[in-house]
Amino acid sequence: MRPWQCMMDALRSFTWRSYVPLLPILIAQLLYLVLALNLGQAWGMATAGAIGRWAVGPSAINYPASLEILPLTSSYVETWTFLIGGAFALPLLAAAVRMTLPGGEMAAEERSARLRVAYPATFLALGAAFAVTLGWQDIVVRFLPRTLASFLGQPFQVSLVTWTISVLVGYAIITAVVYVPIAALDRRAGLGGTLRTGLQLGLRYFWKTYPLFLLLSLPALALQLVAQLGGSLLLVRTRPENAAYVLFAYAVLSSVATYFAWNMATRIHHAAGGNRS
Amino acid sequence: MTLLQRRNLRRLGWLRAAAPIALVLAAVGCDAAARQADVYRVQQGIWKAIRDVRTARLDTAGADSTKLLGLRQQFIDAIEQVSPSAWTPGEGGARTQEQRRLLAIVSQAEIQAATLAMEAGRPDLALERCRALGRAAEGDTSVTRRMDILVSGSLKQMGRYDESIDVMKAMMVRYPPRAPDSTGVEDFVLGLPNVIIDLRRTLGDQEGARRELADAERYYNGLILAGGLDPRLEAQVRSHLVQTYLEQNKTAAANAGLDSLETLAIAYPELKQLTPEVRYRRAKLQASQGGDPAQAIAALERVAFDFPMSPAAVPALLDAALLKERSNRLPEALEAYQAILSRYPARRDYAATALLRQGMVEERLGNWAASKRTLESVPGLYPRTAAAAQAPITIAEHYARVGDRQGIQAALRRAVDAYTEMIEADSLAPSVVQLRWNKFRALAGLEEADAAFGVIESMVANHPTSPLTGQALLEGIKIADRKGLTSVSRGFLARFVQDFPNSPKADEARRRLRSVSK
Repeated sequence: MRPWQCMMDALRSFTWRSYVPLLPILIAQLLYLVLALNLGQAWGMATAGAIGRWAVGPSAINYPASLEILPLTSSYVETWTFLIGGAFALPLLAAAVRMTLPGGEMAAEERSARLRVAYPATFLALGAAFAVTLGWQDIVVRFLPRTLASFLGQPFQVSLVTWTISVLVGYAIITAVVYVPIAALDRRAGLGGTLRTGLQLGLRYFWKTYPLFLLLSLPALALQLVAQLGGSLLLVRTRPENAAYVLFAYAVLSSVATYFAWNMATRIHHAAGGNRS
Repeated sequence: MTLLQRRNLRRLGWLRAAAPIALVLAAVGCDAAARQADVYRVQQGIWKAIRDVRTARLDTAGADSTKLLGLRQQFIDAIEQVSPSAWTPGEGGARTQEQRRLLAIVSQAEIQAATLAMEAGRPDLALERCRALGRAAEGDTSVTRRMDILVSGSLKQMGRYDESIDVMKAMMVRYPPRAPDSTGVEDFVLGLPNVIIDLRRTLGDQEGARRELADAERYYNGLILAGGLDPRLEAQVRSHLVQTYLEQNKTAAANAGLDSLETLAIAYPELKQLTPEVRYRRAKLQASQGGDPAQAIAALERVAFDFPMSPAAVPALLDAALLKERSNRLPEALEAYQAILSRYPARRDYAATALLRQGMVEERLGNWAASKRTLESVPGLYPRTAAAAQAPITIAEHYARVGDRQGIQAALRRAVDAYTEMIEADSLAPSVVQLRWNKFRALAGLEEADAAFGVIESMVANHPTSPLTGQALLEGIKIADRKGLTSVSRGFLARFVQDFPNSPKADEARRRLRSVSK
């Protein structure tokens, strides 16, 4: 089965039941945005305000600065919720998808045993991927704009190309660890073995997964682009709160893209002969 | 008791101890968050109000006073999101960092609200609120300074000029001027004596202006004598002092002041920018001392040539042109005025004067058609300037000189219309007293006594203490006497005696009042 078909099957097979593991992550992210929109209330200031202040500094509790930096603070919240929640949600999602595929069924006890290894393995893999991504973004922010400025001139073009390169490499890093929770469900193995197999699968299926992963994430990426590069424009030309509404939509689309990406990856691995108990 | 039970009890004991601490921490945290949320709501309201003001300003229809007051209310509503107790210092007398932050935000909003109120012609609304915030912010001079400026501005717009001047003088005592920052912009407190002098002059109070000049000299000398000034601040103070000497024709003191300024500029390289100003003032001093005007003209033009971007360049060029005009080098003067207009159109006050003088020179060169066109264009191009107030009368004066009776009548009629329009455009500006005086003169020239008396009444009502009002009353008495209007004459006399008891003409007025009252 071609990867494209796997993606189409993933899109066709959406069920709320299989999406449920990702729901708490989405709720946490939306809840943060709701709190950040309500810094004028004590409960908003005590929660989202405190997070913003801790992450960015005292300017995070000023209006409209709090909404100007919301794409940044919400990206921190997204990273942490995905790291902690994703460690549980992604293996559960992969298991739920696998159960619907021919030959993918497994006994409840076996499933539980494999999931117990999958959780820490996914946590470590995601943690490592985020650390590498952050390091990469740091390099990009430090050196790339200066180099690009001499070729492109226009500041917006420089920001756009920097953002694009940053996103492309970031997604490539995540693609490398996509298969860790899926590999954990293949057979009972130790943590190290699971991580190694997951990374090997990630590299083996990289070119089958990466372009489709990007394609599925395009709607979310478009909104991320608006929120991160057009934040000041939204602030000045429209209401500052619109930045938060864009992030609401981004969080939903990003969660849906995550669901389809792991669903598709599980199917790609299954089609290649993996996932057989 | 089993071991497990004992362990559980120990855990409960910890809980009991920790619970009050946790509650106190939560309460403190919630209290701080509640205060921060208050500030946030104020900022939110201000931001929305600022955006609405910007939209209103971009609206081609413009904003009328009702709209402006509506926008002002948005700022007031934003401020009133928090109680003034939120920035009131505690028992220790010092404000917390949070309180200072809130006070700064509130004062910014109050400035916006006051500006809108003044723009809507309701300075009374700004006055009380600014006074109240100034009192509440006692101890925070960054806020009280701003509030005092607004109080003074409101009083000025309300026509309470003496009170406005009192506030400005109190500010000069209360706020020692600050040294300029990296931009070099001087502290507004340093310019207050000039504002007061200009206000007195605008009100036609030349005697008052002379008194204020003497006060300004004392103020600037006091600052220098107190010592310990930052060199950049000292340079600014000395520059003001030289200007004060020049305006009082104290040439020796002005020369000494310029020497001190030069010494400062040599001692401190960062004060090099003083050079054009020192050279301009020296040239001006040279011009005021008589002698060969050609040398003074050359020196003034050299300043503008060497430092074309300096603030001294335009006044130097204008002074050079005026000297040429006085020396009867009329074609050269005309060229100089035209050069100012083409090179520095944004310096409105200087450009307005240059255009007025251009019209006058054209008349002297015998080109009345061009002169008339130029003079008639001044009020339209530079409204609310002294030149705009002068131009219509200048046209009438030309007809008077050539003995053209019909021309005089037509020019005076146009002058009356122009002044009426200018007064209506900004009836609260201090310069209105001068416009009303000019309108009165034009109406008197037209022998329209009733209309002229109407102008005197509006001057008495709006500018009761202005010397121009006193002058208008005296002129009104003469007109009334000529027309045999005894009751009008008596009314003006009584008003003059009451409002100008210390005038040199007061005794004579009292005698006349007694004689007409018998």
